[in-house]
Amino acid sequence: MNVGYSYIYDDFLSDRGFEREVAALETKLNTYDLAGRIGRLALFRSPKDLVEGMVKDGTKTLIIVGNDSTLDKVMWFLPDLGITVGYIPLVGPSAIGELFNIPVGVAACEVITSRLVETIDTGKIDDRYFLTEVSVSATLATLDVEGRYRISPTDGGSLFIRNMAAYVKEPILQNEKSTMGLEAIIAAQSSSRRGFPWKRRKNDETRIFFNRGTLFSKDPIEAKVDAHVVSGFRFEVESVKRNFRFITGRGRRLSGVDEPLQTAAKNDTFRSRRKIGMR
Amino acid sequence: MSMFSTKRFEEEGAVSPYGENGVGTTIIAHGVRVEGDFTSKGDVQIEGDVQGHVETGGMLTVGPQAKLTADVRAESAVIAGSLEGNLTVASHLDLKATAKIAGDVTCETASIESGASLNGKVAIGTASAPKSTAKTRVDRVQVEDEETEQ
Repeated sequence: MNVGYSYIYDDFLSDRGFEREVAALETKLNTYDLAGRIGRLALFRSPKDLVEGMVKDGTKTLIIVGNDSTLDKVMWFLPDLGITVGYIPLVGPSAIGELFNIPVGVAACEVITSRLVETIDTGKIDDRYFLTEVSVSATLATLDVEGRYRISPTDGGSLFIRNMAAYVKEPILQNEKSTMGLEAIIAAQSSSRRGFPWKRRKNDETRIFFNRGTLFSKDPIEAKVDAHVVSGFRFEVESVKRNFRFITGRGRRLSGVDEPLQTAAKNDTFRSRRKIGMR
Repeated sequence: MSMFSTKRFEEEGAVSPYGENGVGTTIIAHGVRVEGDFTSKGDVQIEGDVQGHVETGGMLTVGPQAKLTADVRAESAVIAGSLEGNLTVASHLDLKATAKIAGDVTCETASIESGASLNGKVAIGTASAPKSTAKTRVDRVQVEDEETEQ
């Protein structure tokens, strides 16, 4: 057993229908000498307490096993723990797997053993970290950017605050990273011309870049943070630079926009290849 | 074949939002209001309503539907909308036929289309540069109050 590695299994993997996949996964991990302690999420069990206990016991690398919802259950506090995180989407489809070039199923073990670690930015909304985006639909909310200016849709619209990518089923809309941490996109609705009510409402998209801001409204805001919904009247939003170490698949470069592979070492990413003899 | 396709976020006719130096193009679309001190290092495109102050180190594009009640500073600018406030452009200013400016304008060089409206002081070319080097191409322009620097 590799004491530096721990695994968080989602609750649904305990079902008989997943026995075969789980067994195949564990066999593969044993082959690569990556077997470690296993913890299971459960209905009345705090994921945060479970993971913090593992870290306290010496876990340096935590692997999330399940689907995108599994990652969402723990993502909101992981960056604070200072560990390296991996993801095995045992059940697809996986938008996060697609984003980070991690295959669905046991093949994801190849990504774990290759250990290509990226240190990436995350977004934070109040005390909750997010990987992809915050989305608010049909709102008149105002975004106060760094106390300098306020921006809001005149007649309502949808608001997206993106860190990595849009959290949609298909296709995945991915933002290249600019030097500013977060991208706010406002899809405003402007009324159709008077006298032509059959004309569709026109959507215009506003796009700004910022590091820190406040989202507020007189009416309750229901915001979807990755896959989790939060509600309130006021949220503090910020970009947290390079605070999350994540194992990604080959071909994904997230540390910079046009960063050549040769400079990987200078940007706190590394690649190691484990040569394991197959039995 | 993957069920999902990964593609860059694009829209027909939209300018690529990411400049050469990695600073994105800020877009204030129609139907959005901005109030306050708005600054950007990259290019800015405005089609909405802006009140306050606008400053960019790149190119400022004000579309025909835009309404600005602000003092504006930019490296270069293309104005096709309405501006109430002073406009200071470090290099070239391009006023389109639908431009309506009520305020003082300062720029290095300018091109003004027929139909553009300008109501305020105009200073084209630097104070130290000879008058003959000022590059201006002026068609028929409605200018109600104009004064050029010597």
